[in-house]
Amino acid sequence: MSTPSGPGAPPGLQRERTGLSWQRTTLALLVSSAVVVRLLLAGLGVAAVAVGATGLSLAALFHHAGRRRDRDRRSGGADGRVLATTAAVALLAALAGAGVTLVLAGRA
Amino acid sequence: MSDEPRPQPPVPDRRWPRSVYGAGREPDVRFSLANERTFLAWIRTGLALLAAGVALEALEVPVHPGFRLAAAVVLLLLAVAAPAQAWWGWVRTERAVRCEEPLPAPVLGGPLAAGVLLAVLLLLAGTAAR
Repeated sequence: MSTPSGPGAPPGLQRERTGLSWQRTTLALLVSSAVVVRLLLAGLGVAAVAVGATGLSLAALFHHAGRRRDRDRRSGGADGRVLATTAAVALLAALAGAGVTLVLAGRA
Repeated sequence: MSDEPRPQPPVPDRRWPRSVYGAGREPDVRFSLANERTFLAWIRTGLALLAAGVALEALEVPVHPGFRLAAAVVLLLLAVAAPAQAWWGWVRTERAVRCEEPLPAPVLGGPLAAGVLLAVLLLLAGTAAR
């Protein structure tokens, strides 16, 4: 991370580990959207591209959220808003993915 | 740890949700960071479950279609529940840490294990019934 803990900070590189955890989550979102797009290509056609674009935008959002968290923490204002948004986005993405999959399964 | 000075809350404290930040006192920041990483781990778990559920159906894995669909539905249900667990688990844990109470167990821990087991059993049954 670009923000070293510095002297006097709690040991264990906790802030860095948390930053890396955000990066991991962003990557997981990218990978799972790539998988979903690839798999839905046959059933959805061009609409799968829209799913991929949505996945990319959400990954950008997660990336931004992780950096925002780090900024908030240094100013002492970190709270649950960013996390609630992240969870809501993940929930809606899962709902959408599940819905599309079940519709395609029903059509087959 | 309890001897060390703790971070002071911002004044005025407008942090949301109040059910978390209105309770107890500022915890050791490491606990909050660990709680956030647990939150993120649940988000990633949900994404993995989603990809698994979609893959089962989209790849038309060669097992009995009924069993396969049932397994996919189980995985997709868990994929929807995981972000909810991420948020509610974060809220409950942060509150417990602030109030120095025992940490709550994840509500979805049991159902997740049972659901994945069920999905695997359904796929095994689907292989036999093919």
